[in-house]
Amino acid sequence: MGVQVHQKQESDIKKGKKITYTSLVQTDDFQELLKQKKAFILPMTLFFFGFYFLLPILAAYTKVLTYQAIGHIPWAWIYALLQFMLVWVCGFIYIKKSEKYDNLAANILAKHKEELD
Amino acid sequence: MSTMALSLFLGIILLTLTITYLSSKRTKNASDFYTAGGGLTAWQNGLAVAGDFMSAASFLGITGAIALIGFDGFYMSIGNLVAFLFLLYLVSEPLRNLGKYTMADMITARFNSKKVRGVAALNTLVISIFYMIAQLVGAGGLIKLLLGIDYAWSVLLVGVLMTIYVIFGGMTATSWVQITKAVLLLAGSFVLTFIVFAKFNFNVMNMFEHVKSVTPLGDAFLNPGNKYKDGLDMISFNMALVLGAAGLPHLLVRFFTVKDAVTARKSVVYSTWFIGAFFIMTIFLGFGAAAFVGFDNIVAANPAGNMAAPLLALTVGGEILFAFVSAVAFATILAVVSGLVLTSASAFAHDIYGQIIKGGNVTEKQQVLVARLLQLE
Repeated sequence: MGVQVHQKQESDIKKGKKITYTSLVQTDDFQELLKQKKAFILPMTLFFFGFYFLLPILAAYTKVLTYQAIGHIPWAWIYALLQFMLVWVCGFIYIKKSEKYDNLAANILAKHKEELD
Repeated sequence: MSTMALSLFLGIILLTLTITYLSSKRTKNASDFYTAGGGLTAWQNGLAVAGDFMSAASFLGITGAIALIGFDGFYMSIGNLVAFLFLLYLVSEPLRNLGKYTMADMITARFNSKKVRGVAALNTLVISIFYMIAQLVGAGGLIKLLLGIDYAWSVLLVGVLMTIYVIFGGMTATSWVQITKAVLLLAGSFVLTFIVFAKFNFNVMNMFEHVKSVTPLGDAFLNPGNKYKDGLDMISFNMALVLGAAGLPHLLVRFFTVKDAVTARKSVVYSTWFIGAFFIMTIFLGFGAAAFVGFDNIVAANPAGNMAAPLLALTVGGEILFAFVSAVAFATILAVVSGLVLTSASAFAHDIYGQIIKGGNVTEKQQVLVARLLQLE
């Protein structure tokens, strides 16, 4: 976990361990972890923002959401419920992905433990 | 004022004071006071986050908005829920990892200057105070309507109660009042939803078909665009909804009440389940109010529709359910206001007094004392 390491680094600054944790952040392993996290979070965020704003945009500038989807229920409500699904599914994905990053962070710490002590 | 309503109100007050008493015995240091010692589990914190978000505005406001303007009222539910993805993906973990007690702690972890801390604390205070004024005004109106107590006395009553919770119980009491209220609110909404759904023979199609014939909007009730006719209006409103949650200080401090980032992210996900379920129920509550209370009666009680949920309870469940729903709405306001007071007090005592005026040379005891004193004003 990038930020956790950062926090740890701060507390270690006080103990005079600054150089080692700064160098840990600069290792290829750690930079790779940061890159992977960014490659996951950025596209996902853009995706759910796009998905979210499509509803008011479609509602404001087209008539498609007023057509009936099932029985008397217009598409607007179906799209709205899809957004609920989106939140639950993206939440699940985030938890799963974060576990992977936590493990990677733990591995990096374990690997460089000796150098740090 | 019915005996039933009064006894339920007193019951809520007694319950929350008991929680405060029990919490006060566990509140020993600054960390306990500001963040409940970081000791909440993911489930508990998830419920508390959900509770902070299911305010009187969502329970009374969204139900009323759906009942009066149909789909445009439901925008609030959608936006408020998607806001949690934003919180989860971009805000929760960095905030938990860098922060200690307040928002300003997190920002100053990277940009360490008194000015930055001061601005962050000031932000927290300004947002909380405006939010609190709205809640207190709502509380006064609600209690006056339900119990017939004078408006000024109602506001005073809420003010005194929240001060007691926060001064004596700190974040532990605030959290447990919030959790209790979240459970009560979910239960009350579920009972109402069930009754409404039963009246439509458990058939969603029936419900959608029926509401079209009972509101003045007719077929348009189910379509977007009744309130927000201009495209940019609609988009800017939605943007405020989805980004607004990340700007609520009393919600952000909820990430400090758990032990680490893993628990923080789990609690956000749990809260999306509670809030999602609640927001789906707002459809039933709103439609039920439109169908069984009627447009004219809702507007007659309150032009903004804020009485739609209690009136629905009265219509479909009689005096008992009405009293219960009103008491829950009262508990909701108490809980949210307490969260706001605690957040403002933390920003003042920890950031402005502790770090800026005293330059960090202040004992935990002094900080908590200042935080407690502040609420008396």
